[in-house]
Amino acid sequence: MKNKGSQSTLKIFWAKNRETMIGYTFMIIVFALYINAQINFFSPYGIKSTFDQLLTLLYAGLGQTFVVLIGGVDLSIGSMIALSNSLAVVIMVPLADYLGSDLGGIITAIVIVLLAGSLAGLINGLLVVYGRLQPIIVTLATSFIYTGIGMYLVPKPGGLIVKGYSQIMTGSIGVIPKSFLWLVIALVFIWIPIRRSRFGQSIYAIGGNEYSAFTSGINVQKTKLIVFMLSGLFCAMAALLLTSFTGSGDPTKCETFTLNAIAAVVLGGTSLAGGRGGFVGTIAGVIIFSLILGLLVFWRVPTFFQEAVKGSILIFALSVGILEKIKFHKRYYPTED
Amino acid sequence: MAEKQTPILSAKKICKRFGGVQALKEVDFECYQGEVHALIGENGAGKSTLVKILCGVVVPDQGDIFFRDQRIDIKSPSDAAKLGIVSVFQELSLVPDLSVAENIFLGYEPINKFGQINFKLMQQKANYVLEELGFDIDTRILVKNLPFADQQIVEIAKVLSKDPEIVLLDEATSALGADEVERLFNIIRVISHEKKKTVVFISHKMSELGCIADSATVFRDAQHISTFGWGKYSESEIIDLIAGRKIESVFPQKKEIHSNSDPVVEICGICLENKLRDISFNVKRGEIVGLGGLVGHGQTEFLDVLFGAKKIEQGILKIKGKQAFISSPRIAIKCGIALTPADRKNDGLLLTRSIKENLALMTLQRRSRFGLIDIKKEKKETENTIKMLTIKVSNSEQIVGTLSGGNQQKAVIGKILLTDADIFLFSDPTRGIDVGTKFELYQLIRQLADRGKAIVFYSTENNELLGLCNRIVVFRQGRISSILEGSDLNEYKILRSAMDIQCEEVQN
Repeated sequence: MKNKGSQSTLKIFWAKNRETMIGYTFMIIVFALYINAQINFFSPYGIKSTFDQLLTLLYAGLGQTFVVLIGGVDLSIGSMIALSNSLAVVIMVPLADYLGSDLGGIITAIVIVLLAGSLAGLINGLLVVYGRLQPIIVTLATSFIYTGIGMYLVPKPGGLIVKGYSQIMTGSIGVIPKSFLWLVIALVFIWIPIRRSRFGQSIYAIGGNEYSAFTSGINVQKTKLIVFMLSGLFCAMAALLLTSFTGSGDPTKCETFTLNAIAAVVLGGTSLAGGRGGFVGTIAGVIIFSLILGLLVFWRVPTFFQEAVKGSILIFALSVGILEKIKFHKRYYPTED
Repeated sequence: MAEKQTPILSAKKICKRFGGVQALKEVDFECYQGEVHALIGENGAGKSTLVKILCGVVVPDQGDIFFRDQRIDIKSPSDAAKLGIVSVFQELSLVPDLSVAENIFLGYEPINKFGQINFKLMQQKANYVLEELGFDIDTRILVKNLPFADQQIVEIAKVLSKDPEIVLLDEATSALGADEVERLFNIIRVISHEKKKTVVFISHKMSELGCIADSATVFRDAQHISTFGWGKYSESEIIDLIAGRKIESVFPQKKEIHSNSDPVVEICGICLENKLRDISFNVKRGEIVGLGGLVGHGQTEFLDVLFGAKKIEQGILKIKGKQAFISSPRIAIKCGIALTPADRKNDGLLLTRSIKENLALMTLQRRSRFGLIDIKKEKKETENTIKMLTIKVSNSEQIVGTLSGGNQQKAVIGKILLTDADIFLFSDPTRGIDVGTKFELYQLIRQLADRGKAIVFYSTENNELLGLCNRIVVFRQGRISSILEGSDLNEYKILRSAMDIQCEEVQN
C-alpha cells in the first residue's frame, strides 16, 4: 500500500460491515442452539418447516430494509400484508371461475395483489414526499386504513384459495424446499441488482446525508417514492406467500409483522438512522428472530417471558449501534464527584 | 485575458429572502470564460446565497440567470450540473458512510448495460482523479474515517471529476494546510488559464485571493458594490469596500495592568494525559491573556480543562485565591467561568430555536420565579443584548440557524455575556467571520476586560493575539514554550517559540 492514509482491506471491510458481522455471529449461536433443541432439524421436513415459517417475515423485512435505509420507518407493513392477504382470498376463486382456468385465476390474482400492494406503498410515498410528513406518522395513519379495508373484505377469518395455489408457491422441488428458492430470489434477483444500481446507491446516500445527496444531483423525491412503493410491493409478496401457507385470510393476525420486521432489520445491523446496513443483514435478523421464538417454545418458556425476551433482544441489537457514542460522551462529560 | 467577451454566466436582478432577512437585493453578477473570479464580502453579505442559487441548491425569488446569453432555469443541483456548473460548499456535502470513491462518483456512477454499477472501475477512476490532482488518499476508506482536511480534498475531487465549465468554490480552503492550498491553487490555475474554464472563489483570506484572482466582485449588505480587475485596488482599499467604512485602527487600545493587582485565575502545574504538561500561569483582573502557538499543541485541551470538560490529572486551579475543583462545565459556570466553544454550530447554539431562547438558555435560573420563567424580563434582557451586539435579526423570535456565521458567533457570545461571569474563555471566536464583525468582537472583548473581567483568548491568527492581548502564552507540544509580554509581543517571537527555533536564538 503506497497511500499515507491507507488501511488494510480487512479493516475497511470491518468498518463497512461491522453491525452485519455481529448479526451473523449472533445468528450462528442461535442456529446452533436451535439445531441442538430440535432433534429432527436435518430431516427434509424439519428444514422445510423452518424455512416456511421465516419466509413471510423475510419479505416483510426486505420492504422494511429499504425504508429504514433512507432513514424512515414503515409502520404499515403488517397492514399492507393484511390488505393483500384479504384481497387474495377474496378475488382468487371468483377470478378462476370467471376465466374458467385455475392457473389463469392464480396468475391474475397474483398480478392484482402485487399491484394493490404497490399502490398502498405508493400512497405512503406520496404522502411522505409531497405531503412533507414524517414517514412514521404517515404509515401509522395509513396502517389503520389498510387494515380496515382488509377487515371489510374479510370480516371473519376465512376465505378460499384455488386448490393448486399452495402447491405452486410452497412444497419442494426434489429435496430443495421452494421456500429456500424464494429466499434466493429475494437476495440474488431482487436485492443484489438493486444494491448495485444507481438507485441503490442513491438510497444509501439519502440515508447517510439527505442534503449531500440532493446537492450531488440525486433526485431525492423520486427515490423516496420508489422506496415506499417497493415496500408495498414486497408486503404483497409476503402476503401471497402467507396465503399459500395458511390457505385463508385473516387481517387481524398480520399486525405483528410490522414490529417483527423492524426487529429483524435492526438485529441484522441496519441503522435506524439510515444509510448503513442492508438486506444481507436482515436475512440474519429474520433467522435470529424466528428461531429464537421457536427456541422459547421448545424450552417451554411461559408466554409472558417470550415477549420480554423479544424486547430484550431488540434493546441489545439497538445498543450495538450506539456503543461508539457512549464512549464519546464519557470522554467529554466526566461524571461529577 | 477575458475582456470584451460575452459573459459565460450572468445573473440579473437576483432577489432572495430567507424569512425576514433579505439575503440578496437585486444583485447583478457576471463572470467570463477562463477567469478566476473572487467573491468578497462580510459574512452575511450574500456571497454564499448567490453561489447556492447559481448551482441550484437555492431557488431565487426573482431575477434571471443567463448562460452564454441564453436565459436558463436552474431548479435543482442536477439542472446546474447538466450545464457544467458545480460547487464545493462551505459545509461539506459528503455522505459519511460511503467510501471516498462512492462519494466522488455519487449520482454519476459508471454503469453497465444492465444498470449495474461497476465498483471496480469506479475505484480505478477515483484513484486516477485523485492522482491527477496530486493527492494521496485511499479511495476505499469510508469518508467519516478521514481527517477533515482530506474530506475537503475529496469534496474538491468530486466536483472536478465532473469536468465542469464553471466551478464555484465556497471557502474550500478553510481546513487545508498551506501546501495543500498551494496545490489546489495550481490546479485552479490549470483549470482556468489552460483549460479555459471559469472558477468562482469565495475566501476571507486576502492573501489567498491575491495569489489567484483575476477579477473580483464585492458584496455588502445583500447588494452588489463593485466588480473590478484584480490589482485595481490595494488591499486596504478593498477592505474599505467590504466594510463600507474606514477601519482606522482595527484593535482597541490596550490598558496597563498593574503588576501588583491580584490574579483572578491561578494555574499551577496542570497536566492532562499526554496532552498537557506542567502548565502554570495566571490571569489578572482586566487582563487579556492570549494562547498562541501552532494549531493542535494543547490550547483547546487547556480551555476544556479550565471549563471542566476534561479532567485534570495533576495540578491546582485557584479562582480568586481559593482552590477550585472544576469537574464539569456546570461547576465551571457556577464558579463564574464562561466559554465560547470553537464549534459554534454543534456546541454553542440550538440552531432550530429562536435567538431569544438561545441567548436566555444559560441564565434561565436567574429569571424564573416559582419554577416559571419571567417572559417579559427575558424578552427585555435578550433584546438589549441583540442591540448591544448589533446582531442582524428581523426580531428576537428569528431561528438562529437562519443567521449568517458572524451573527451566529455574536449570538454565542451574547449568551455567555448574559451569565455575567468573571472569567471568559474564547476559543478561536473569529474563525470564518468577516472583517467588520471581527472588529466589533475585538472591541467587545476589550470592553469586557476594561470592566474588570479576566479573559483567556485563543486564536489561530497571530496578528489577532498581538493586537488584542496583554500577554501571550505560547504552547508547544502541550507545554508552555514561553510567555511573551511588552516589547516581546511580535510575530517573530511567537513563531520562534511556537516552532522552537533554537539556532536563531543563538544568532540574536
